[in-house]
Amino acid sequence: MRLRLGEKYSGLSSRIVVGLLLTMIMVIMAIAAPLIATHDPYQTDVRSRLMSPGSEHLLGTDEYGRDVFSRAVYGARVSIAVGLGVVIISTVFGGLIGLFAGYFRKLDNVLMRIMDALMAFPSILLAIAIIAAIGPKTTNVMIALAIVYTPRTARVVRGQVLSVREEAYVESARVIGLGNMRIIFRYILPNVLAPLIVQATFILALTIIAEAGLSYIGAGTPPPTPSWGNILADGRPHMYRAPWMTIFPGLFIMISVLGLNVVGDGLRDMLDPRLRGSE
Amino acid sequence: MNRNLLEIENLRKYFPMTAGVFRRKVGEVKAVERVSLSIKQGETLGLVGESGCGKTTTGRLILRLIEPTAGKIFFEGKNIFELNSHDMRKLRREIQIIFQDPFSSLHPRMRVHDIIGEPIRFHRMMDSTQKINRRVDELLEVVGLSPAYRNRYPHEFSGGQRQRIGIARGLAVNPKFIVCDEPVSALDVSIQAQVLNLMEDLQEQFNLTYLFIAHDLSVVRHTSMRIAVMYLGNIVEIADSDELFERPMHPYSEALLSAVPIPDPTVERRQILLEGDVPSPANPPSGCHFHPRCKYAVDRCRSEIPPLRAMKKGIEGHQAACHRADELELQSGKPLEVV
Repeated sequence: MRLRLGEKYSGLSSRIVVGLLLTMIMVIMAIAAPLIATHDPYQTDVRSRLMSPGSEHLLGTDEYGRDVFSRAVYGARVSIAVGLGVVIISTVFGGLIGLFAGYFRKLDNVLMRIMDALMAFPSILLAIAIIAAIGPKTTNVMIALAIVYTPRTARVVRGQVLSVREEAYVESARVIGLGNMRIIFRYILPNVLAPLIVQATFILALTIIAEAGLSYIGAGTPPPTPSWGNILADGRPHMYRAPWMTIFPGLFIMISVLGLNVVGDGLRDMLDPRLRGSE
Repeated sequence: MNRNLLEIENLRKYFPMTAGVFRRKVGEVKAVERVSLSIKQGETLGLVGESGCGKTTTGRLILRLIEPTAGKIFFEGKNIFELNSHDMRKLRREIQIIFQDPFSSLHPRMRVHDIIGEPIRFHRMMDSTQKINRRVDELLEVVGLSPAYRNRYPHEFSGGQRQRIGIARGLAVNPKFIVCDEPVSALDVSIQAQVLNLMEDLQEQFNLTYLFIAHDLSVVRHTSMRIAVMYLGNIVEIADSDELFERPMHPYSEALLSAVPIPDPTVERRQILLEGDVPSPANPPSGCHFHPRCKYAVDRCRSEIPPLRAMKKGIEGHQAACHRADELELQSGKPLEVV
C-alpha cells in the first residue's frame, strides 16, 4: 500500500511553495552553518564590540565582539534540532496516544484526562517548570517541549480516529477477522495521517518560538552556545545603541515561523478542506 | 427444502445509555428484543422494517461484530457466541457482509487489489503473490469488472462499481452466508437492478445463502424467497414472499405493503398512512409495540405482548405476532384494479 496524502489534488499550491522556500532557507542555514558563517560564533574580540553591520561583520557584532550573523546562522541549528526533536517525539507519542484513546474506548477516559491535565497549564509555564526540574540543557528543552505539545497531537488524532473508526471499511476489516493492532495501523492510521502532518508543521513553528522564548529568559540553551533566543537576550540591554543584535535574530525567528505556518495552512487546505479556518 | 444453515434463537441486544463522567447507566435501547429466525441453505431471507427497528443490529450480531445481551445464533449447528478466537477466525471465512454505503465501505487509501486480496492474505488462503493476483483478477471478472482496474483506488469508481468491489471482497473467502445490509439502497434505481441481478447470479453460481436487509419491500420481493417483517426489535410477521404480499396478517405489514409504489399510473390503491412516529426503542409501548399506531388495536393489545405464532389461514410457515390476526381481513399488497 503506497502512502498517499490527498486524493483530489493536483500539485502544490503556490502558498506551500513560498512557505517551503522560507523554511528551506532556515534548514540550509542549519545544515551548512560552518560554510555559511563568516566568523567563528564563539570568537570574542574586545576591539570590535558593538560594531554596526558592514562589510566586515554582515549583521554587526555583539558586546563581546562576536559576529551576530555567524551566531544567528549557528543558532538555526539549535532551533531546527529542537524543533525536529520535539515534532518527532510529540508526533510519535501523541499519535499513539490518540490512536489508542480513540480506538479503545475504555482507555479514552484515562489517557485523555491525563492529556487534559497537561493542557491545563499554559504551555510556556509548563515548559519552564519541567526545565526547572531537570535543568536547562538543549536536550532537556526538547523533552520539556515534547511533553507540552504531545497532548495537542493526541487530541487532534483522537478526534480523527473517533470518526474514522465508525467507517464501514473499518468494520469490513473486522468482518475479515483482522486484529485490533492491524486495524489501528493499517486501516485507521493512514486515514488520520493528513491532520497529523498538518499538526506537526504547526508544532514545529510553535517549538521554534517556544525554544527562543525559553532561551531568552535563560531557561533554554545555555550561553555561550548561540540560539536565537539567547542572542536576543544578549542584545536586549543594548537595544538602542545596537539594535542589530535584536532585530536580526528576531527576523530569523519570524521568517522561519512564518514559513512553517504558511506551509501548514497550505497543507491543511490541500489535504482536508473541511478543516479550513480551524486551528 | 434444505437444512437450516443459520438459526437465531431469542436473540436480544440492549445498548446501554450512559450519562456523566462515570458512564452511569441511565437506561437501555432495546435494539433487538426477541428475534428468532432460521435461514435455510441456499435461500434468501428478506428482513424489512423501518429505520431503527433493529435490522442492522441483527445483521451485526450474526457477524459477531457485537455481542448479544442474550440469545444464541447457530451457524451449521454451532453457537457462534461460544466460539474461541481460533474457531471464530474460521467462521469469518464462512460469513461475510455487503455494506449499504459503497462510499465508506472501501479503504480510501488502498488499491482495489489490496482491498480484495486482504481477506485472502489474512486467512493465508494462498501462498504466492501470483496466485493471489490471479484470484483477485478472477473475482473482479466474477463481479463484472475488468481486471485492468486492479491498481486503481476506490475514489476512481462509481457507486455501483464500488459496490461490486465490495461484493468481490466478500466473495474472496468463499463464504457460505452473506449478510446484505441494504446493498442497493445507496444506489441509483438503474444501477440497483444490475447489482441485484449480479447478486442473484452469484447466489446460483456459488450456492450462497443471503440475509437480505432492506427497507424497500419491492426490492425484497424480487430477491427473497421468504420475508420477515421487523418492528421495534421484534419480528412481527414472517412468510413466503408471495404469501406475504397476497395475504399479510399483521397490520404493520399491511401498512408497509400499501406503501410500495406501483409503476402504473392507472392503478389505484388505498394507502394506509400510519399515524404517529415510531416509538422510542428505549421505552417501547406496553403490550403489542405496534398498538399506538394500529387502527385495529383493542384493549388486549395494550396489555398483552402477542407471540409470533403460526397462522391458521394461509400456507404453511406463515407466522404473525398479532392477537387479532385470525379475525382481521387485511388488504393485500396487490393493487386493486380500477378500470
